[in-house]
Amino acid sequence: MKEFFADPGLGLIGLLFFFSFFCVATLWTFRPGGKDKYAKHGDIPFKENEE
Amino acid sequence: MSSAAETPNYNYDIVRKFTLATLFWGVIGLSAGVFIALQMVFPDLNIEPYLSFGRLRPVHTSAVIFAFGGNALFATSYYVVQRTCGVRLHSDKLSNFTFWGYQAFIVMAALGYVLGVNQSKEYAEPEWYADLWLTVVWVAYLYVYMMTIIKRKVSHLYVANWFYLAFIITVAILHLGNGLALPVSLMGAKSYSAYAGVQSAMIQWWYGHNAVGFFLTAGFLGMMYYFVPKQANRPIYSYRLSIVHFWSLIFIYMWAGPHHLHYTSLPDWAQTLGMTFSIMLWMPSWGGMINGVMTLSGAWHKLRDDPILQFMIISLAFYGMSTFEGPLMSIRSVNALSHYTEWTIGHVHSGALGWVGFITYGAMYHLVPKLWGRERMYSTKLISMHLWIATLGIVLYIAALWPAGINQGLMWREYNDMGFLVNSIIEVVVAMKPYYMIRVLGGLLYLTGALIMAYNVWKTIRGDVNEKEYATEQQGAAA
Repeated sequence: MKEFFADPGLGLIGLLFFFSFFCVATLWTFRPGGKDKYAKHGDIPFKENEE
Repeated sequence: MSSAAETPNYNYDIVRKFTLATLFWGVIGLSAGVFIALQMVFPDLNIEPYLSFGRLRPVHTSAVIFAFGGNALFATSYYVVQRTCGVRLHSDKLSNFTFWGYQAFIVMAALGYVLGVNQSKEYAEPEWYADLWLTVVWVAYLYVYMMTIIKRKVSHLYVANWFYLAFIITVAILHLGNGLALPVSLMGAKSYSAYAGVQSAMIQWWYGHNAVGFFLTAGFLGMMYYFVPKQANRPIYSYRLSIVHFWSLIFIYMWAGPHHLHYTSLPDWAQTLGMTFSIMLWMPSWGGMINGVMTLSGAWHKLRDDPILQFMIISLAFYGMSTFEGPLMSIRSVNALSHYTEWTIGHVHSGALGWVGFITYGAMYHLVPKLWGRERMYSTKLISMHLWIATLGIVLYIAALWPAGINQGLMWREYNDMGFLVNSIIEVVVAMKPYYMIRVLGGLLYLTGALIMAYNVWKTIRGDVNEKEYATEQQGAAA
C-alpha cells in the first residue's frame, strides 16, 4: 500500500486527470453557441416563483 | 406587498432561526476578540485559569468562524437552495435538528476550551466527543441539502448552490481527515491524534488552509453569487466566468496548505508545491472578485444610495485585497519575514472582517425584511452607520498590524556585528504595545457596528417604522 502511494506515476496520472478535466470544463463552458443558455442560468435568481 | 413571509411554500422558520443565531454569536465572538486583544495590552486581564488568553483565543476564533460564519452559511444556504430550486427544504424535522445540533456543538466546544479541553489543533480544537457530534450534524446537513437539490423543479442548479455544496462536502472530508483520533477512555475527554510528527503538521495545515478555502471562501462565494445579483437587481456579470471560477478554485485550493509550513521539516518540494498553488490562486480569486464587482457594470449609481450594496461591494474589495496578499505571503522569502508575526493576523482579519463579515452583513440586511415580512429594514441610516464604523474599525485594525508584523519580523532577525541577536523577546513585545492599542480600538468599532445592526434587526422584527426616515423618503419621492 505504501509503495502504491509513493509511486511517482500515480501523481502524474492524477495531475493529468484533474488538469484535463479543468481544461475540458473550461472549453465546454466557452463553447460557441452557449452564451444564451448561460445568460438564462444567470437569471434563475430573478425567476423565483413568488416574485 | 409581496414578501417571502407570506409564501407558505418555503421553510423560512429554519432560516429565521439561523439568522438570529448568526447575529447572537457574532456579538459574542467579536466581544471575545476585543477582550483577548485587551489582554495583549493589559496582561493582568488574564484571569487564570478559565479566562486566560490561551483558553479564550479558541473561543474567539471558533465563535466568529464556526458560530457566526457557520450559522450564516446554514441560514443563507437553506434560503438560497429553496429559492433557486423552487422547492421547500427537505424534512422540517431534520433541518431543525441541524439547527439545535449545531448550537449544541458550539456550546460543547466553547465549554471545553474554557475548561482546558482542547485537541491543540488550530481551528479544529474540539475533542473527540464534540467532533463525533459535529459529524452527525454535518451528515444531516448534507442530506437535507442534497435531497432538496434532488427534488428541485428548476432543471439547472444555480451556481451559488455549487459553491455551497462544495463547502459542505469538503468541510466533511477535512473534518474527518484531520479529526482522526483515539480517545484515551470512553468516559474521558482526552484523545490522541492518529498522526504524528511532520505528517501531523501537514494534515493539520491541509485542513487549516482548506477551512479558509472552503468554509470561509467557497461558502461565502455561494452567498455572494446569490445576494449580490439580488440586491443589485441584475444577473451576475458573467455566468460562464462563475463556472470557471468554481472549478479553478476547487482544484487549486486543495494544494495550498504547505505554505503554512515553510522552513520546517516538511520536504522542500512540498513547500514549493504549496507556494506555487497559492500563487496560482490569484487567478480564480480575482476572477471571482471581478465577476462580483462588475455585476454593477452600467448601474454604478445603485451604489450611491444603497448601503446594503455598499457592504457587498466593499466585501468584494476586501476579498480581492486579502486574496492578493495571501499568495504574496506564501512566497518563501516573504514568508521568512511575515510568518509568526502580527502581519499574518492583520491579513486574516482583512479577509475575516472585510470579506466574510461584510458579505454576511449585506446578505443579512437583504434577508431580514423578507424573512419577517417587512417592506425594508427599520433604518437605512443605521445600516450606513454600521457600514462606516465597521470599515473604519477594519482599517484601524489592519493598518496597525501590518507595520506591527514587519517591525516584529525585522526586530527578530536583527543581528549585530558579532553575529548576536540585537533584540530580546521582551523588547519586541514592548514595541508591539502601541499597535495592540490601535487593534483594540479597531475591534471595538467593529463590535459597535454589530451592536447597531442587532438593534436595527430587533426594531425591524418588531415591525417598528422609522417615521422620520420614512417621511424624508416620501418627500424625496414626491419631489
